[in-house]
Amino acid sequence: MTDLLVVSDLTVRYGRRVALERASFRVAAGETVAVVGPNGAGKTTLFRAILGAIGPTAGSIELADRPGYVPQADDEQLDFPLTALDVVLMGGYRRRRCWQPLGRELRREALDALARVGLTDRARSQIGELSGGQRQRVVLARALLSRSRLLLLDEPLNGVDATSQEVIIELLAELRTQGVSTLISTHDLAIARRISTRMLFLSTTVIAEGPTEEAFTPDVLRRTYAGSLLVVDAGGHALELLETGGHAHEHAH
Amino acid sequence: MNTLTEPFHYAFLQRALLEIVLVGIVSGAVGPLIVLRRLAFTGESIAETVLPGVVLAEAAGASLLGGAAAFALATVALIAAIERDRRVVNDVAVGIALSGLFPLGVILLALQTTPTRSLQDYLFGDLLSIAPSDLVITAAIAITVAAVVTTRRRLLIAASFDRPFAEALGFRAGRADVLVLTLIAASVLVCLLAVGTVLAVALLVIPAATARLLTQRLVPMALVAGVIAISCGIAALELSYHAGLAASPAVVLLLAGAFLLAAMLTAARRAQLRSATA
Repeated sequence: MTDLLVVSDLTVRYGRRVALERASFRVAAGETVAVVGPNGAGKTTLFRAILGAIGPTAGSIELADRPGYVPQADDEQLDFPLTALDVVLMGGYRRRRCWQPLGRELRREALDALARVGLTDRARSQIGELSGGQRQRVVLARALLSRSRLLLLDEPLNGVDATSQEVIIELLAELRTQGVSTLISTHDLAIARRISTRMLFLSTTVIAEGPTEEAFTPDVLRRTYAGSLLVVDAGGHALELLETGGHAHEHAH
Repeated sequence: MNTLTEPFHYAFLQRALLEIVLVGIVSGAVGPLIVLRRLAFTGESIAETVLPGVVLAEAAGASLLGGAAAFALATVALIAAIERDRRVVNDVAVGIALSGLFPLGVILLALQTTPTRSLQDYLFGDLLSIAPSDLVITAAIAITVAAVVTTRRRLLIAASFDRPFAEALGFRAGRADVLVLTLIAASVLVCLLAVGTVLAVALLVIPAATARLLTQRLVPMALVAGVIAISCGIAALELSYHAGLAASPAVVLLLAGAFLLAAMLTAARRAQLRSATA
């Protein structure tokens, strides 16, 4: 299988602080890789390094393609005078020279991308008028317009309503059948286990990595969350995960 | 009709009209960036930090616009340098640059025993006394600003709307920040001739803020901002010629009036929509 991403011994430091240490893994075509770990585990640092926004202190990143990107939801710029279609079209910015108009073909593609996330009827809506879940679907449609075979999704299901969550999960499954790989960071272990073909457990370094059913074990969870999660073996494969901070309460069966 | 065209038979009013058109161009091109990126304080500060440049140029017998340009660029460089430390946010960097340079200008100004008319024009502006040579330079600046915004619009939009996404596209968001600051500094220089350092940023911010109330898309917002700036500028020249009002403050007053009108219209439209859906 073709590797779309190869990360080798990647270390990233911010000053003296080590954000990521000797991380190594590969992503092949058609894989959905869930990146999980506690806050500060280095998930966003890993994504930023893959995107080239920060340089590695050591190690290397090999990419077959510039990845499409869905950043964490940000409600800061909702007053921007942009429609959902305008936002999706941003995904094609790099496919046109600065003097070239975006053109009809790209517009048609953008409308198709919006149709894939079930938002055809909201193409002309202002981005600020959409719900959080709809906005997340719009930025996913924007990532599709990059035509990249590798998508990085930074907590795409955070604060998303149930309808949008299902639309996104279905689209990820559809993309997998088309050979598009996705790297998804999430705090929701149940969702991570449900949607991924592989999992990457991160806690500054890679704790474990592999096919979901093999990597998702009580021991790996204990080592990844080291005290921030209480792992209760409920018999068989069932696990109950309770965040010791007292906020989250997740079930993964 | 003759009453409206009559003022523009005079060369100084023709220059004022041309200056208003140039202000309209930068107001449409850069005003939306200032409003949407919430950089009004930055614009105001850059306008005020050019003061020492103007005073020093006056003392040296050099071009006042050149002095202003040198200090506007120095301010941009200073803000960008201070902002490199991630612990210092934009507002703080701008505040430091402002508090470093503006008092210097005040001290230098106080040392001037007899400020000349041209120096006062730079501080408070005078649309009716623009020198042809200054107009040529500002025309070149305005056209350059419009060209840069047009060709780099995708970088500017992406970096302003979604910084992490812009970086993922391969755009350098940090470069976009410096570009925006430089565009604001250049636009302030264009507006200096019209209303001086004190009110320069009003010509950039108010038309764009008014246009934001009236439009839902970026390009129409830019076009409407430009049209508002030009319309109020022409109206101010007419008022100046026919009613003897000072043209420079009149432009800003008319712009403020246009904003107020747009705000009232928007509020009325919203109330109407609410009552229709209730």
